[in-house]
Amino acid sequence: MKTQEKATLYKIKLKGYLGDDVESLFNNFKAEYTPDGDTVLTGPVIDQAELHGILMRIRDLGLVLVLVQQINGEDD
Amino acid sequence: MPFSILSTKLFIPSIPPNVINRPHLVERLSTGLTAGRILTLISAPPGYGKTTLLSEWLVSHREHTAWLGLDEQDNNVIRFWTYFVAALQTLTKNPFGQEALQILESPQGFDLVQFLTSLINDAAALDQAIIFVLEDYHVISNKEIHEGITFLLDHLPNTLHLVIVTRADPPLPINRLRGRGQITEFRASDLRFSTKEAMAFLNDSMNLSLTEMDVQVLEKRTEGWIVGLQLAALSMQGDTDAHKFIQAFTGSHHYILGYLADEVLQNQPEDLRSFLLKTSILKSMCVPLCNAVVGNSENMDVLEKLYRSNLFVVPMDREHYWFRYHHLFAELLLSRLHRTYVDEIPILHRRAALWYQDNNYPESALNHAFAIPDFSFATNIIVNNWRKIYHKGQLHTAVQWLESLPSDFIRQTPPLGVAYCWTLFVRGNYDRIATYLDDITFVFEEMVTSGMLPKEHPEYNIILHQVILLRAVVLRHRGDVTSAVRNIEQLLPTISDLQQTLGQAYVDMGLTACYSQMGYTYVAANDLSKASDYLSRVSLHARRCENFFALAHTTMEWARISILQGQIEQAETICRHELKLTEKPAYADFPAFCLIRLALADVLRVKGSWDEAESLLQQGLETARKTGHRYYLAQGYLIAANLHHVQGDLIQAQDDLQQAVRIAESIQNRFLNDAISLTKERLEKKSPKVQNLIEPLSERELEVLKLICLGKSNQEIADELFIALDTVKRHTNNLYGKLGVRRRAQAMNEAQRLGLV
Repeated sequence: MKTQEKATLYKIKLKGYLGDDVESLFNNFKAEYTPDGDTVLTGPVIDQAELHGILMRIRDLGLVLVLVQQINGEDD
Repeated sequence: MPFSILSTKLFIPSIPPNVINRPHLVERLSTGLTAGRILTLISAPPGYGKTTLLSEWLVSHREHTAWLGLDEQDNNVIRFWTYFVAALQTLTKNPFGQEALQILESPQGFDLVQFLTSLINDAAALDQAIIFVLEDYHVISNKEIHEGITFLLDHLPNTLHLVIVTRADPPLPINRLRGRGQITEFRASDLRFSTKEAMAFLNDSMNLSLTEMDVQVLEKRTEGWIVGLQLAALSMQGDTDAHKFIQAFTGSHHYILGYLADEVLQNQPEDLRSFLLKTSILKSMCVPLCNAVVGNSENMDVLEKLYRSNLFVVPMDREHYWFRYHHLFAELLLSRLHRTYVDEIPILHRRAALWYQDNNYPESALNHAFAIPDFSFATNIIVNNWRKIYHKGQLHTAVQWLESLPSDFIRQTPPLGVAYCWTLFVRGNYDRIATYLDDITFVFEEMVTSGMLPKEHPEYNIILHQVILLRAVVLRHRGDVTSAVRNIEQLLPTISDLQQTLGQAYVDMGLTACYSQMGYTYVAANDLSKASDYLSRVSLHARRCENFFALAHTTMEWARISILQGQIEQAETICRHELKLTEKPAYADFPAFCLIRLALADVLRVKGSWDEAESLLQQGLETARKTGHRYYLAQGYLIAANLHHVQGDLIQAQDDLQQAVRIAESIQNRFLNDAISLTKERLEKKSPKVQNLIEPLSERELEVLKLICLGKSNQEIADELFIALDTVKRHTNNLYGKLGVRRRAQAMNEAQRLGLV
């Protein structure tokens, strides 16, 4: 039996350049920027509940969600 | 009501200054209403002017609109529905929703369908239609609440039109409503500003003079997102070169809100900027609270000024006393607070908690105490407030507060521990009381020996008394009646001695608890005259400290044992005296008072006044049913079974008994199970038996005899009747004497022969 849930890496693409806001709005996420000025957040997500919490936060900040992708899945 | 209702949650927002009228949207809202559609759904991300649009529409509907602004805490089912009813009650007359509210406040949980049916019936009887707005429905994640709203939508009377405002589509049967054409929907694409509206907003409302070209560029960059346009306008107000700003803004790919919020904040003077950041921890603000948090006291009209300058504060009441920040702006301020004053955040929460505590808002104080986080502060707030709500029967709130603390914390903090034990007592969970008491006593003794809690401190006595009393409860439950009595006897003189230091209210509270527990203990010891003596003293003190819970329960017990003692008249007097209290309008619907009606019904059964007994029984059952108190309901059915049995209606009696059994299965209360088995045995006799003895057996002796006949050992009998082993032996000897027998087997034969069992 698993005793501790391993965090899964997720990539979340948002419309627009988040800049300094990344750190304070999304803890534990690192930001990269696409050439057309969008933000790609990468960071560990403990479980689905946390992921949905993050998605809700995106909604509540009026950010536009472009893409959500799991990076290291179960075969990792 | 289980919560003090914050009227700000029920406030219909007023139209902000300089609003842009949106007649085409208002007309669609009105069409939905006149067409008799069930639901209006406004579903869009924050900042699209959802609430503002509604406030514009509702100007002409104010006198028949109810409003409920939801927050995360409303995921508590009880809280949600309490506010739901309270919002409707702002428009309706008594007794709208009274019955529904009582159903909610049941210690064993309430029945959702029963609650909603009662509410729907009340709503259907209204003589004017109500528009009911649920704002920020997206915060609701509790499935039970969605189920309730779905049920409501399926049974909505045409006197109610529901408006749901949300940032995410709710898990309600929206598709079904769409299919039937019963819904009016507004989404982001409907709500965003057109170029024409953006033009009017920027140039007329915000007093800018932008060219049509500039407006078009801004509108494109913000995609008509109203909050973005508003922030842009604020950024330009101090700026002479609006065109330059627009070029910089539209040329950047920055997150609109982050970019603009920084612009706006930079335009503010330093003290206002710090005010905005530091007050962002508050869910609602009034000037004294803000000053307490920020630490200055000059700006008496600061909030009104912010409101007038469109700085995203929203009034929460008509008087413009309470305000809050627009959600999006609050988020941004909070994130910038974390960047600039991160070390100060706990201090700010502490100041807020203190202010709320001093101004008697325990719930808000508690929230900020948790945010610090400072559990001892939270403890203080709970310790100072739980008793008030507990005595009114608001068990849910007391339990919810206590259980929001870590469970170790309850065990390690004696005042919390004893509070929690009393909630366990009400729920009949004696075994857990015992485990908590061990921990509490250990910590308490440590505190005393280490000098942390000196014996002169009032808290020392308060905890000590509770521990002794709870210990007595556990001892009694285990059958050690002698020790239980000794515990309480030691306690009694100490409590009265504390009148000087702790006040009369404490004495009343303490004596209520002591006398009632002493009474219960003597009942368990089968010393009815002493039990009667103690129970008779409860009422005076319970009334003084408004512990109606104890009052109702002890009255029932006192009446019951008076019957056993053959003092029917006394029992009747007691019940009728307390019944007067239940007739006062303020207390009319207090659930535990149904016990007094039921008790009197039982007395009148014995007396032979069956008609009045039946009428009181029905009233008592009705209250128990309405309030959803299943324990009381089961007690009522048992009294009904006995009443109908004695009247010879054996079928009805069996039916009543089965009702009680069914309820008992769902709540697992040992006292109830016990009472049921006694009633069951009584009913199994074909008809009430006449005792053919020179000296008749007492009811208790009969109970013991029945158990003997079932082949139970003395210990088993003691367990089943909740009495001490010695007491069982005494009863056995007495009944042997009365039956003229010397051994168990002879007693069984004699009992059969006389038809006693």
